[in-house]
Amino acid sequence: MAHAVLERQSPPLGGAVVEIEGLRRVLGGAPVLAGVDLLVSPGERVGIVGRSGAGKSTLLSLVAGLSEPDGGSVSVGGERTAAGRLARCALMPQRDCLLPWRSALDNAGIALENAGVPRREARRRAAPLFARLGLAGSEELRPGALSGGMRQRVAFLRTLLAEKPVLLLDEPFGALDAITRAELQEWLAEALAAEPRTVLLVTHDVEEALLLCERVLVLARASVAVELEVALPRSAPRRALVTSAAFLELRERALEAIG
Amino acid sequence: MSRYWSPALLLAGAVGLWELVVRAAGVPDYLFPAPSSVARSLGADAGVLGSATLVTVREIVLGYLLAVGVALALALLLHASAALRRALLPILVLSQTVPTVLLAPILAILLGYGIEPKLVVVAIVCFFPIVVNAVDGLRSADPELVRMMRTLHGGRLAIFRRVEFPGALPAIFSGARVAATYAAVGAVFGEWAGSSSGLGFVILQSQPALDTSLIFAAVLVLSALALALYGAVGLAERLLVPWEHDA
Repeated sequence: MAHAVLERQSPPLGGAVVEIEGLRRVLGGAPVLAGVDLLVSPGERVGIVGRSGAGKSTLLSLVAGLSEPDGGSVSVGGERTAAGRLARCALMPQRDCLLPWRSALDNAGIALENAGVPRREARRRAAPLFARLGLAGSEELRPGALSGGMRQRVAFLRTLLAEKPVLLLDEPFGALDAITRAELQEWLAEALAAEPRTVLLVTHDVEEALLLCERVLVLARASVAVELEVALPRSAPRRALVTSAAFLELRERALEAIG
Repeated sequence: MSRYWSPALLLAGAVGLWELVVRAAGVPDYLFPAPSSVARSLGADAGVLGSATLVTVREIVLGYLLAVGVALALALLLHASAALRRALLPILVLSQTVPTVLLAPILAILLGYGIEPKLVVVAIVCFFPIVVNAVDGLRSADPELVRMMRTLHGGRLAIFRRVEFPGALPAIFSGARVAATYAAVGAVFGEWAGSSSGLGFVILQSQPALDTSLIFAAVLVLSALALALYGAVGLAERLLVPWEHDA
């Protein structure tokens, strides 16, 4: 059973992996999401930006199967039940949430262990990613001995190693300083190029969303205010990219929609 | 080592003052012995104290281990079922209001005069702080960690094994440290209810003989045993919860 869960589920060709229709969610009497629609294709990276309290994290937790909608529907890989969505999504929270009693390598492999893979085998499968993604040498360190940036990298590898078709990143770099954050954004772009996944990235940083995603949604007043296609030359150096006219225009439109 | 200086100095001062006052006032030994006469007893009755200590150490250590085992098992049950927690926790609290001094003779009647009733008394005195701390520790797991685990193939058991239990270890150990200081007293109560050996028995025997110095010497050994157990639990914590001592 454990292995069935871990087989890389190839999503239906052409169809959307994540389908959200008229999604409604009410928290404490107030509508947090009032009719959100979104289709995410396999392998696509979609950014969701908005102010704090705009419902970004609520949306992620609904997709993840950690909560149920009050109206509308949400499905992942055709599965509408919470358990079905939970089985297909891996969540990376804003705080790294590394377990202080486990080494970096054991933290990264925890999803495999949870699925019944023996610890030794989980470590064996996590190790090559450490080497490939700039974490070589930190395998045996406990989180307490890692910098904030390193901890987020380990947290991302942990999410990746869950081998789920959809990654949900909830403000993954929100707690980092500006310099580490820029570093990690580039690192994440490389990591996703090496290990392509369907990604929903929630952030309040418009630049981050535009740099990392092919499509950016702005959530405002409980619904999608604007949807931006991001067609930018990904190979261009970051400095050139963020000062290009196309980038600035997209940024302006997003910021305007955020209000 | 420097953190032991101030308590050591304070203790030395208090002992010195005690010696001075007892001698100056000419208090007889059977009423209130001076530290020097307690020390003399410690030397003169080393044989009696030594064999009694072996008996009491066994009761303390085995009783304490029984307490830890029972406490962890209870904590798991209480953690697993909210209904059980509501039903059982008040009863556990109630059990702590029954004076152990009264419970010990009943246990002696039930379980005889061997080591068993002593172990049970030690366990009854010790288990409560461990259960309460363990249940609190298990329940205080970070909900965000639990959410994260759920999206990473983490079932109820995986979350318990990999998040809740290791996260509760510091709390379990603080309960275990408190309990360690009760164990020696528990063993003495157990012995008082019926025994023919042990430090509690030595104390009981010395009362009619008015050998107050020996009573004090026995109490001194009991304190040393309690401190040693406390130290051992602290050492176990350093070994089992190393991440708390990283910084």
